[in-house]
Amino acid sequence: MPLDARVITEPSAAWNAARTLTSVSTTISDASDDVASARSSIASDCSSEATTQALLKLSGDRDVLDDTSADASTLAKALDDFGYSMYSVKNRLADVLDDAMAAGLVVSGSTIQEPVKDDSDADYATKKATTTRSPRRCP
Amino acid sequence: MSAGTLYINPETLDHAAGMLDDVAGDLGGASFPADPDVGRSSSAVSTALSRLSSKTTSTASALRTMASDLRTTASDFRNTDADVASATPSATSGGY
Repeated sequence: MPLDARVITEPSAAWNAARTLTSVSTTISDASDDVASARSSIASDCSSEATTQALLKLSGDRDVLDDTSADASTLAKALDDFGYSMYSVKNRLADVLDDAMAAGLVVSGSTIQEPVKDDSDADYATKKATTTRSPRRCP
Repeated sequence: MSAGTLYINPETLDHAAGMLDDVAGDLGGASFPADPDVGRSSSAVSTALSRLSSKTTSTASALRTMASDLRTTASDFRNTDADVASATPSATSGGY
């Protein structure tokens, strides 16, 4: 049976998303700082029932922004790590293809063809072993 | 009811409202990434991105509402101040 060593998930997709998300996280964090600044100016210059309620609301909004920024940063980190994992898998699969070719197996694209049984081929057993120990595909 | 001193600076409220509108604009302009293909985790990542985007949008909306409320408070304060001033008899020299 031929083996497919194709990388289904490219690391670049995760890395691009992580980069964009990191930027979003920064935007939200900056927004939180600006809300805190607006809140501070109100707190230092006004005192009333209305402004007290506004201060409470702005504190809550700032908490939401801080949480959202942290969550975006965490997700960006996870995507970045996932990208590096996929990059590692991609390199290992490339090594598998190299090993297969070095062992004399026929490789078509990312597919390692199963060796045809040939009693005159002294390397047949090695080739067969190579195809049976190679991973079929990455997640 | 507040038992303390009541003081409001409408200029401060208007300025804060402007800041909050700017913040809301920044948040509204935040561009979340399209759902990436991350294999079996794609669905979970898509859900997480959707929730983050939703929270950001709703917070931006709340800040716009707050900005509007602050402007209304500032305006009401000015109007009330003007009303009280117009209803207060002017001091006149040699008056009664």
